[in-house]
Amino acid sequence: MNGRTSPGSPGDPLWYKDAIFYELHVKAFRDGNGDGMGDFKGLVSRLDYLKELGVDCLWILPMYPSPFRDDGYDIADYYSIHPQYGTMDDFREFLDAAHERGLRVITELVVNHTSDQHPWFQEARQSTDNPRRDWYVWSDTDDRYRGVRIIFLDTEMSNWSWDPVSKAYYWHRFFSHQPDLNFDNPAVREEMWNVMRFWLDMGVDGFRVDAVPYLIEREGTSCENLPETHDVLRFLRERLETHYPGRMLLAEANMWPEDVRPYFGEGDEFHMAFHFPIMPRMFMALRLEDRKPLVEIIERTPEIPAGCQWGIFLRNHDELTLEMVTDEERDYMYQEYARDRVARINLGIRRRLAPLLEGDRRKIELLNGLLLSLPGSPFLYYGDEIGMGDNVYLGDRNGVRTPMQWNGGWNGGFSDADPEQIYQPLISNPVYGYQAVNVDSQRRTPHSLLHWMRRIIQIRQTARAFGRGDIRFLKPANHRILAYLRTYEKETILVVNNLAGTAQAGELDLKDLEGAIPIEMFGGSPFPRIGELPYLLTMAPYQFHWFKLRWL
Amino acid sequence: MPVTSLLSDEMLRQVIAVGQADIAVGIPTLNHGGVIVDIVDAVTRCFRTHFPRERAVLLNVDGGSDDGTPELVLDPARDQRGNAGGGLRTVHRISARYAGLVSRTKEVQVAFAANELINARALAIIDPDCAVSPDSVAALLRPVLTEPCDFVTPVYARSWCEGALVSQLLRPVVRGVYGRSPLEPAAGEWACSARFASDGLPGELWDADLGPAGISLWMGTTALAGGYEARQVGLGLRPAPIRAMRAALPEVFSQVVGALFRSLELHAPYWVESRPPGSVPMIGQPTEAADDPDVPATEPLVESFRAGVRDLEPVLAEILQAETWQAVRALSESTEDVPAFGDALWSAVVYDFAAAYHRGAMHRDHLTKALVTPYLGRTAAFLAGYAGSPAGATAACEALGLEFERAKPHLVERWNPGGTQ
Repeated sequence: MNGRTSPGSPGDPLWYKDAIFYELHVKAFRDGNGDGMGDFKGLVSRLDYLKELGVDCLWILPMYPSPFRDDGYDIADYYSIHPQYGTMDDFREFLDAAHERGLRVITELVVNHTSDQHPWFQEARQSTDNPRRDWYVWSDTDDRYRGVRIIFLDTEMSNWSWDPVSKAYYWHRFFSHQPDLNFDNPAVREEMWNVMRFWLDMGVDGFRVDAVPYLIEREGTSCENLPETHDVLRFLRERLETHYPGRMLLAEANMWPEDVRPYFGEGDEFHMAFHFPIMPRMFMALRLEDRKPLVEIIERTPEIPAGCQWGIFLRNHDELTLEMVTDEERDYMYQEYARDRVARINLGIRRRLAPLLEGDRRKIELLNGLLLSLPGSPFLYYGDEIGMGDNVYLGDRNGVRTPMQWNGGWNGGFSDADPEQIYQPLISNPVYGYQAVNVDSQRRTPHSLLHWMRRIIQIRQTARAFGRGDIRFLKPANHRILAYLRTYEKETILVVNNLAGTAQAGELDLKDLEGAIPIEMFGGSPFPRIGELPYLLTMAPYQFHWFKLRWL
Repeated sequence: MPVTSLLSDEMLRQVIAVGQADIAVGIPTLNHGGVIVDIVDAVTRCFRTHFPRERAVLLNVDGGSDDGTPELVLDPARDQRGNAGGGLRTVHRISARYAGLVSRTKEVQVAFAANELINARALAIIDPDCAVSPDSVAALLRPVLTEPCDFVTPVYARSWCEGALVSQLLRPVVRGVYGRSPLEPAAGEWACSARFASDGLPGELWDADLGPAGISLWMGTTALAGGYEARQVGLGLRPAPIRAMRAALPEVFSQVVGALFRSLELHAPYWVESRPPGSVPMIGQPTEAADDPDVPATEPLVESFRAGVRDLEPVLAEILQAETWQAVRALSESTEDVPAFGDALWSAVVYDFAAAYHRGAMHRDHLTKALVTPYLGRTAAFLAGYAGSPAGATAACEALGLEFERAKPHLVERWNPGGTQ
């Protein structure tokens, strides 16, 4: 399988720079065997839908055997598939079927920790001289690494937990049932590479690597973002590049962009990393009707190596995280988007896109327009393409992980099982319930959100400037207008967004593009030629335009 | 027929770019380059710290500065400075000059016109010759945003002998005539609601150059006469002017007393009716001033009073009723070090002047300037009366207000001798 070039962008090792990603839970997408839980057989049966949608790469959330105390991020076996999701053959079938359709697949790689049920940990705790003992971080006291922040403050009192079996403390940055692996141990690094190789040989196109800043611990430090962590990452990247060119590593590091920047290294660590702070600022800019938050965060985003790319998103399987905002901004976001406190969790908001935007189709389109036109590769979250709702009463973040709504029939087309058997209830309220919001009904409605999403994805894929181009903000005097140029080689796209709920006029200084004719990309209509004078555009509420500039 | 626009094309272009806002601060300027940066920063910090969620606009109406004032207002470097405190939103800044003769009145009118398009719920007008702080600007704006309130004036902590024009003339007249008065009826800074600004745009006095205090007086009395909700808010010690103004007293009277008397004319249908006295609600407590002031010497005032009565005899005899004139002349001729210019006589003098102004007894500018003479006599009497026991000064000012209330029928009678308006 070495050197395989996946379909979609054949042979292009930078395929991820143009790709549109689609994040999904296997358990939530489609139940193929009628047991109430989504599985790979079910997912295979819906790959044509994803192909029609136009996405390029699927990001599969953890599918490994797990006690599911952290939605699968507590892995108990890196070399297998959770039985409820199917068999290894089912996974291979899925992978092949996806590739046949030109869809790439990336999977989760939780490297920082395992489940405490993982055999490695079970062995390690047996005795201090067990060969696996040094695969985890142990201590006789809980004094080491004092001052290191506790991430899950709601549930954890310490980063150390007492193991009554081996009578020692073990280190964990997340839940106490997720002991951290010891990446100072070369055997652990080798084993993690073996894990990667196992899945790469099977054909996966890359990994979304979870919790990367926490791999190494050192006394007197924050135990985050340490130089030795980068050593580990360079080790894995070098192996990947040598043996599996064209595959991709995506970092999850919820930090400011300047702090994430080192994870790209000199192009020798991650290919991609999520740009977390952009996300809340898209929502903020929309509610404020002011481009300031977005422009500021993008302008403070450092350059990254040529082969690297940011990943951006509107929503995902977690809460709408508000860690990368100021206290003032967080208060504002809570007041505007989560006035009902039950919608708040950790430092964020557990809502899906459509309910966050009060079901306002214009806002949903505008934010998707931003997502697909700002620098970075966009990640869509399953169900948001049809405007699915959520259920904040399901606890934790399960409310945004409800079954996909395929039709208005039995279990919304998700499963043939008894409704009581479904892993968690479908959304069933009259506004967002599966009877009202589902794929089949939107397929039959030409102006549905689903059709619109297909169309905008299709249009984005006609211009490489979106994925690879530079950005230059135009900053017209009207701050409700967010306008920018995306330029790649000889291609220039002009994007103009009205962030306001009222009609706006904007005068764009396009002098340096004098002579160009803007061609509106959705309808192909030519607009007046750009001249010396400011270019006047009047925009309807929440309207946006993408123009391809042509010199004709 | 050519139409004169209040808003220049440049101003209109910037207003369109800003669109709707929640709060606005108008800053009239004319060659304020030396101070405008600090004012812009204070207003920006006000927006950032006190109103981070409101859409805010700084609205500079410039009379044609040639020292770069508008450029300083719009300087992008101000963004960096203003952004230091964070802030969710863009702080919009508009700066443009207006057409026509330079006057503070016109500048406020243009700010009102701009606000008609911006539609800010609260508009504060700041006097660029006085220092402002983010807190003081916020204190003016907030009542308009949070209460049923259309007009807000500041209250400053003053020593008993400071601001005699206010304590001895403006405040008692407004109180006596309108039934209530803010403590500072002529402060250079104030705030109003969008409704007030919109209603006031077709006002009659925009062509006059009333000066900052005169405009404030006109606006304040308009609020009282128009049934608008008014408030006053304590702002502590009055900041020292950051650009010294040395206008001669007659010029001040021409503007301020002229504005007062013109306001009385405009609002006569309101105040000639008998109305129960009231008060302008206070938000917070006014700060007490350190009561150890330098009391101005009274001798120069008395000398000016005596000389003025002699020099202006025909004028004063024309303006004042006979018995009032006799009393004033007698005072000026008394041998006392400081003639005892009492409340009753003082109210009769002022009301006679107001009525004469209304009657058009003489050139109005001459008339208002002539009031300086008795004012000096009255001020000397007030200062001399309480220099040794300032504790009684506040009560004396209250008594003066009551006297003006009591004497209002005298004004009504003199105002409208035929019994009809």
